[in-house]
Amino acid sequence: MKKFIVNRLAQMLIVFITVSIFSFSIIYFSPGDPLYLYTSPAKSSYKMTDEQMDAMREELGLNGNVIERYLNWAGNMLKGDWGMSVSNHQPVKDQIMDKLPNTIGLMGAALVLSVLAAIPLGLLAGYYKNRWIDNIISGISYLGISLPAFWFGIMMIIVFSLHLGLFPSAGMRTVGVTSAADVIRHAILPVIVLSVNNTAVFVRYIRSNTIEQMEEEYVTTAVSKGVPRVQVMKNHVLKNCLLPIITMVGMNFGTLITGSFIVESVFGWPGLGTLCMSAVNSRDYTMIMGITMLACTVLLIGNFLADVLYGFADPRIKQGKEKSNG
Amino acid sequence: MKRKFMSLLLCAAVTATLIAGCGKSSNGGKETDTKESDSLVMPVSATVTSLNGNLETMAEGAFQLAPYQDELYYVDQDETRWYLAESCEISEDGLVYTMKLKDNLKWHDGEAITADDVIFTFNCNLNTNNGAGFSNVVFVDEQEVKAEKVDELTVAFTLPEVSASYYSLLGNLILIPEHAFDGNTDIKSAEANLTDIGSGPYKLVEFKDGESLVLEKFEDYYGSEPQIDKIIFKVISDPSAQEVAFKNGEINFLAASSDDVVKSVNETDGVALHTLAEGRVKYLAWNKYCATWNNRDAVKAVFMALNQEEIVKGAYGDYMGKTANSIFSNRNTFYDESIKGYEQNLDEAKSLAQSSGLAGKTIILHYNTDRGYMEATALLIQEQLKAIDVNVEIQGIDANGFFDVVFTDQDDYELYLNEYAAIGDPDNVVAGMLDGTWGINVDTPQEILDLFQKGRQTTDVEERAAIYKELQQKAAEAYLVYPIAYPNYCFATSDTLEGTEDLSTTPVFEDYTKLSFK
Repeated sequence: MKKFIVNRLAQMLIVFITVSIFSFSIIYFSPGDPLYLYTSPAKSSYKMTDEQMDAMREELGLNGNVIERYLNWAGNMLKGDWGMSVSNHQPVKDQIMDKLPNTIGLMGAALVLSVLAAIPLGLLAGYYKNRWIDNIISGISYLGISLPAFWFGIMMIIVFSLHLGLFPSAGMRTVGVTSAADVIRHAILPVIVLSVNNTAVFVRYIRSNTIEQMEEEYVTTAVSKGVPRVQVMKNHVLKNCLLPIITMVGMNFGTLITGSFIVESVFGWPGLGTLCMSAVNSRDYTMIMGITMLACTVLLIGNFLADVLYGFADPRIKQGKEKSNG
Repeated sequence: MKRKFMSLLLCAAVTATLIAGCGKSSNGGKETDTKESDSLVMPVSATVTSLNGNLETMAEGAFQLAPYQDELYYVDQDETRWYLAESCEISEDGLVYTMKLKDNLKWHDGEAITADDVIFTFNCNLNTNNGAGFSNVVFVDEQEVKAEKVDELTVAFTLPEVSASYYSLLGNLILIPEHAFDGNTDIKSAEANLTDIGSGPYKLVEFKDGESLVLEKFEDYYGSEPQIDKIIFKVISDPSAQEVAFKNGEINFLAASSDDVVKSVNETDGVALHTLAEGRVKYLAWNKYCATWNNRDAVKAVFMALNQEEIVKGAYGDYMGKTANSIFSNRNTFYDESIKGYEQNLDEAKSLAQSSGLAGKTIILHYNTDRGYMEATALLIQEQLKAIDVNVEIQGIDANGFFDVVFTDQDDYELYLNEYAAIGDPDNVVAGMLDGTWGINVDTPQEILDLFQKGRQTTDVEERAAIYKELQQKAAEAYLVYPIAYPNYCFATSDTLEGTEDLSTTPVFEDYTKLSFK
């Protein structure tokens, strides 16, 4: 197990470095200039001279070729310096850390909601395979997988905010209100929208697992021995069906992160998504890199923990990994 | 028992993750209602990046900072309105501008606004590492302007050469307090940029980056007393969500993003709709470096093939814009209504397209995806040029990348759709777009460049008007660019809000003290 963990950590490091190189290169080679913000005719009719532009580039660390700039950025990151935002000259780390709890709150709540909703629905659909209840749940889950988050978000706003007046349409809190209840009220719609896709995926997965387990010989044996099907379901099938959820959660972290970016934009939720969107628009490379690498780290750790936890939860996997690692 | 415990644990997890998002503010403090009639709540796509108007880089920045900071003065088409400044005298030779501040002006922290703050602001802009800011106030044609304190309230600006637009540019200057920055002109990373350094009728209450900017009336304001207690800018980035928030009363201001939105809110009870000329010019330009236009009849063929009315009607609808006739906008100081725009003549266009070799070609048109109506305009142009057997390949580029691709000397595209701010003096952005400063691929004849130069060096208003009339006419005759539309800024408010149309300038509102609720 120790060797497995060391190997996985080494792989994570390689992935992390590769992602950083690719992301940095994409930003560097994409058309656009972070200085556009300060020098565009919309800002001032005066066009800076080449010397003034060079001095500003030097000051903002925008001089040099892609390799020099990447090494400079990576070196600073290693020292814990995430750099200054090109667009507002404030420390990138502080701004990200300021927004991080908002995104984690949204993602965490959506994840918990997805798992809570998917388990009973998936089990029911699998247990009643091809019956009306399965057809309804499966139909809804197909719909959930296909729904674009931005469209679904707007629909939810129109129905629950405009027509029913139950929830606010945007933001994380009412201006001037500082209660947790107010934040929860603002979070309900975005959390539901963000959780829909994952819930649908989990339901499909649990359903097919349930069907698979129900056809296993141990189930047939138990039923033939007179154990009620509900008890078989509860004591045996449930446990075996839920284990792979750990992996699914890890694997779906990426969808959750990208989904949160869209949902934050629709609901005006002040998280990393909105921060990243404005950073992309202004070619604020330090901010884009900071958020990308943070998302990459969360994704890698999520997958890693899923693998390790799965090993602990199912000794067969753990043994298999140990064998394959020699 | 175990199941109940698990259920409770999971419920607690949902609540805990949500509360995690509450951050520091979940202290159960007192609640205030933003819907009360003394608050004007306006949606924005993002909060400002800085509370310093010299540094703010966002397009919506001026909109959010308008109630919080005042200009020196504003030069409109027919008058000058005075804010922090009391007067600005120009010497006979047109080189010295003597600006005097009003007496008893105060910053929001209570300190007096003096000539030292003017000099400090000027010096901050001289340090171009802070960004472009108001560099058009400190440089004239790349040469430094000299600023000298005359007395506690007066500053003299000496120009290196005559520049007639300097009067209006100086008026736009946003002062910042010297004491808040400890006199340090390297201001870009200063903490003071996120504190209250304003001079306007509303002072800062709370700034939550990415959430809201809350302002309340400033009791010591030098001008008329503000009548609305609070101005709140709330982040709602999605235009559809903004519309919903307006309709359900969460906000009481909505800038319309399309003609459909205008029609939709117009049908809502208790809503007043307002339309202002935005002072911009949306235009189609051709790339002089591209060999397709070596024969200028090809340019004429394109201009003559277009049906401007149809494009504006199709892209802008009934409310959001009107056809343009000049390279100056309808809010420009020297705009001339009598200039004739381009008219469609399909037969002539077909003939010119054939003779110039344009017919049968595929040409590339770039447009800025972050600017309104550009995509629809591009599609309509594509459709209309089919009539002269020209196939248009449309390529959208986001705002930041657009100028990198378009304002080059490359020959790899033929046309682009762009826009510029043309409010106020034409020697500001308009000249820069067409004299080779910014739009380097516009083929401006020497005759027109000379007229821009002459207009810059002439201080007599009537003489300038004649120069700019000739310039607008010559630009149209030279097929310089095709001015397509003058966009409108349409906004809806609750019909209880008064004073919205007292000053028809954008970004709204020039003077917040004129606003009140019935």
